[in-house]
Amino acid sequence: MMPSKVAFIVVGWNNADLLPDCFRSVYRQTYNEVDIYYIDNYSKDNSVELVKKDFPNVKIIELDYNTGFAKGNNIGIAAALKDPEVAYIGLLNTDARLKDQWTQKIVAFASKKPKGALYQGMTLDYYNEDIIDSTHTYVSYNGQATQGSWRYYYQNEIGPKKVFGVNAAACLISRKFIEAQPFGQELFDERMFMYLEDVDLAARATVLGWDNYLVPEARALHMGSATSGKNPGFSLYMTFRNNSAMLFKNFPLKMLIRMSPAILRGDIDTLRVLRRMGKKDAARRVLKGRIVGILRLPLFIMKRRKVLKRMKVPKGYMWNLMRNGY
Amino acid sequence: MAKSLAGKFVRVSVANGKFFINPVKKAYKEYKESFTKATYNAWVIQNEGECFVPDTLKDEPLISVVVPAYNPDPSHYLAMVYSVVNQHYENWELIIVNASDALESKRRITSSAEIDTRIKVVEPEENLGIAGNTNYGLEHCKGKYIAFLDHDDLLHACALHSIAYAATENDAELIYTDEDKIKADNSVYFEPFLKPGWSPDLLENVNYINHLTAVKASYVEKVKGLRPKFDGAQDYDFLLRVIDICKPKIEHIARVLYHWRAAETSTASDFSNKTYVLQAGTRALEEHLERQGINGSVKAIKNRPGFYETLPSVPKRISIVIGPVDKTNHRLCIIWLAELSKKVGKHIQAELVIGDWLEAYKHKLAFASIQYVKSAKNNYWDEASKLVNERVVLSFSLAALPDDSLAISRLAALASSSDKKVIAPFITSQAKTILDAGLVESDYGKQRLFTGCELGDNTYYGSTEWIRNVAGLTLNIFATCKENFVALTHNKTGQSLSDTDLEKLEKTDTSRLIVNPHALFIFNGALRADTFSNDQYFNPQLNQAQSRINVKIPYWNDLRALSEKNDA
Repeated sequence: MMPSKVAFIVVGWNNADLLPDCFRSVYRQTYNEVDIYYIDNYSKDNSVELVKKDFPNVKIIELDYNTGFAKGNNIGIAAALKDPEVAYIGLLNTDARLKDQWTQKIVAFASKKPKGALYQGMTLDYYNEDIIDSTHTYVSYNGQATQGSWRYYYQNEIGPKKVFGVNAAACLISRKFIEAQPFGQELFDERMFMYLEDVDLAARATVLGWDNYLVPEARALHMGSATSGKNPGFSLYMTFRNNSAMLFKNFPLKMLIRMSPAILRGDIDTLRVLRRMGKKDAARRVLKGRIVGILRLPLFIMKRRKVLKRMKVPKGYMWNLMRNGY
Repeated sequence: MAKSLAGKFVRVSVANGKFFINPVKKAYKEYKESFTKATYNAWVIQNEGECFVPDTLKDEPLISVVVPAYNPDPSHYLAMVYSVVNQHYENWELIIVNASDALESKRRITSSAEIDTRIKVVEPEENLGIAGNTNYGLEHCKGKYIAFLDHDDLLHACALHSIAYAATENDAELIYTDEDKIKADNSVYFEPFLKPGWSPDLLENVNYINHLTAVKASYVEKVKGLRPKFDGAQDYDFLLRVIDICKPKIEHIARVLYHWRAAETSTASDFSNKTYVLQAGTRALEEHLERQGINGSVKAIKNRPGFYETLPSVPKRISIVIGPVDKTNHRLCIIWLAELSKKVGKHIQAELVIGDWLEAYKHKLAFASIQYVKSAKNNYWDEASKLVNERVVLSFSLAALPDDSLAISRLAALASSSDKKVIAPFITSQAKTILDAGLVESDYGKQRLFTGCELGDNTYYGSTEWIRNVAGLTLNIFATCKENFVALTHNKTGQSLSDTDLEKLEKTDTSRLIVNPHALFIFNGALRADTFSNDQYFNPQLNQAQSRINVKIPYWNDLRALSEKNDA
C-alpha cells in the first residue's frame, strides 16, 4: 500500500486564542490518517499548556527563540518526514480553518499527479465566505508577488488549474518534492525569515519542472494577516527585502533583464503612492527593504546556481504562467 | 456643355477612386477592425476559465484526446498538455504519440507523462507520418469518444466538459466546436471563426469542421482511422468517410473551445499550398462523390488552398422562369433578357417562361422556345409552373446578370444533382457589396446573411466566398428541380415569392437551401415597383446590435445556418 498519511504543520507564536479552532477543523475532516505537529516559536502566552491539555494527540515541538515562519516549518517538516508513512505535508497557518473534506479532496486529486508539488484549495475570507482570499500566487511581469483572485467574489467552482504558486496559508506539499530539493531538506529559505518564502518555494517548484495546482472543490478559510498584521511597516520592509532575493534565486538572467524596467517602474509607483498617502515612514521602509535586499544578494548565489542548473521549464512557458498565474 | 463636363468629371473621379479613395477606405477599415480585434482578445481572457455546462451530467463517458507530436516547440507543447490537464471534466485520457526524432524533444515528451496519471505517451518505432502516427495513437485509446488535438494548440478549459454534455444529453455522435487563433507567444487571441450549424454542402467545399472534432470511438474503428495516403488532407478525408459511412448524429457547439496556434511551424498561418495537399483533398472529395452516387468533378480553387469546388455534371436543358413584370419596365426587361440569353452558355438550351406581354417583342430574343403565362391573372406563379417542361428551373424575380459565363451552369448543375436542393446565387451590387445571400436565423428572427459586407470579406462567420446551407431564401433568384418548383408555387396567389413559401417544401421533403457565391449575379434593377418597398427582413433591433458590435458582443454563435439537425 502506498503511504498516504498527511502531516499538518502549524507554526504558532502567541496565538493561543486561534489554536483550538484550527486543530478542531483538522480533526473534523473525513480523512483519518492525519497527524498534527505544533511548532511553538517561543510563545509567551499559555499556548503550549493549552495544547497539551486539550489536544493530547498533537505532537509539540518547543523552540527556545522565535525562528520565524521559514525555519519553524522546516523543523516541523523534518520531524514529520521521519515517519515513513507520511506522503503529504499540510501547511496550516494558525488563522486558517479547513472546511469539510479539504484533505480528502486534495489528496484524491494529488494522487493522480506524479509530478505535483504544491496544492491549494479555494481559500475564502473567514469573515465573508462570498469573497475569495486567494486561489493562487504568482510573480507578475513587474516582479511583484501577487495573490490570484484576491478579493474577487466567489461565484462558482472553476475546475482544477495548474498555477504558478500557492498560498501557504493552507496548502499541501508532496513528499517527493521535498525530497528532491536541491539544498538538502531545507524547504523554505531560512535566510528569508518571514514573508515571500512561499512564493520563493512556488517559483522554485515551477522552475524545477514540478507542477502546482489549484483544487477548487477543497475549501479553506483564512483571516488574512491576523498573525502579524499588527506591524505593517515591518511587513513592507520584509516583503521588499525578500522580493529581490526571490527574483535573484529563481529567475534566469535573461528574464531578469527583461523584467527590470517593469520592476523599477513598480517600485517607483509604490513609493509615489505611499508618499501621496502621507505614509512617508512606510515609503522609507520600502526603499530600505529594496536596498538591503540588493545588498544581501551575494548570500543567495550558491542557491541560485543550484536552482538554475536544474531548470527544466522553457522560458516561453514561464512568461505564459506569469501573465495571470495560470 | 455643362452636362458633358460633369460627365467627364464623374469619369475622372471614378478613375481616381482606384488610386486615392480606395487606399483611404482600406486604411479606415483596418482601423475599425483593430478595435474588434482588441475587444475580442479581452473578452477571451475574461472568459478563459468559464464553465458553460451544468455540473451534473447523466453519464460521464471517457474521452480520449489523441495528439500526434513531432518535434514540438517546448513551451507550446507544455501549454497544450496543461490545457488538457486543466479541463473541468475529469474523465479523460491524453494519448501522445511521440514521433519526434530530435533527442531533446523526445525526452521532453516522454517525461511529460509524469504530469498526470491520465497521460499516456506511446512511441511508434519510426515516424509514420501524421495519419500513421494518429492511427498508432488510436490503437491505444480506450475512450468512448475520441477528440483530435494538435501538438501546439490549446483547449478551452470547458471543451471536454461541453463535448461530454453534448454526447450524453443530446446523444450526439460527431461533435464540433468553434475555434480561434492564438499568437505564437501566447499573447493575443484573434480571428475567431464562429461556424455555422451542420452544413453538408459547405463541407464539400472546405473542411470547416476540423477543430475541435470529437467522434464516437466505434465509428473511428468502423472507418479504420485515418488513411496515410491522404496525408495533408487526412482529417478532411476522415470526416467525409465518417459522415458518409456511419451517418452520425452531428452537433455543433457554438462556442470557441479551441485555440489554433498561428506559429510558423503550424499550418494556421501558412496553410500549405503544396500540390500534394491539394491533390489529396481533391481525391478525398472525389471518393466522397462516388460514395454519394453523384457524377461530378472536383477542383481546387486557385490561390485559396484548402478550398475546393465540387461541380456535378451540367444538365443540357433548363427552364428560365421570369416573374411578373410591371408595364413600365417592359422595355428595360427586354434589354436585360437579351443580355441574359447571351450568358446562358453554349452548352445549355434554355426555355423561357414569361408573361404574355413579351409576344410582341419575341423576335428580339434568342431563346430556344418561349412559353407565355397569361399575366392578367392573380395566380401568375401557379400558371407558370404548369408551363415548365424541363427538369431544372431557374427563376428570376428581379433583373440581375451573371458575373461570368459559368454562373448559370453552376446553379443548374447543383439543382439537377439532387431533387432536395434549392440553390440561390449571391446577388451583389456593381461595387460587389452583397445584397442577397440568403437568410439565417438569429436571436432576432430571420435575417439577411452578410448584410453590408463586400464579397471576399472575411467575417467572424467565415469567408463570404463559401457555399452555405442557410435557413431561408429570399427567392429573388433561385434554381431547383421541377417538382420543387411546382410544390413551391402550388396555389400561390400574389405577385412575389417569399421565404414562407419554402415551408410548403419542408412538410413533404427535407429540402436543402443553399447560397452559392461562385454563381455570382450582379443586380441590374427591379422588375416590379414594390420589390424593395418593404424589406420584411430588415430588423431594427439587430441593426442596432450590429452597430454596437465593436463595443460589446457575445462571441458565441448567434447564426444557426441549418435548422434541421441531420437528415440521416
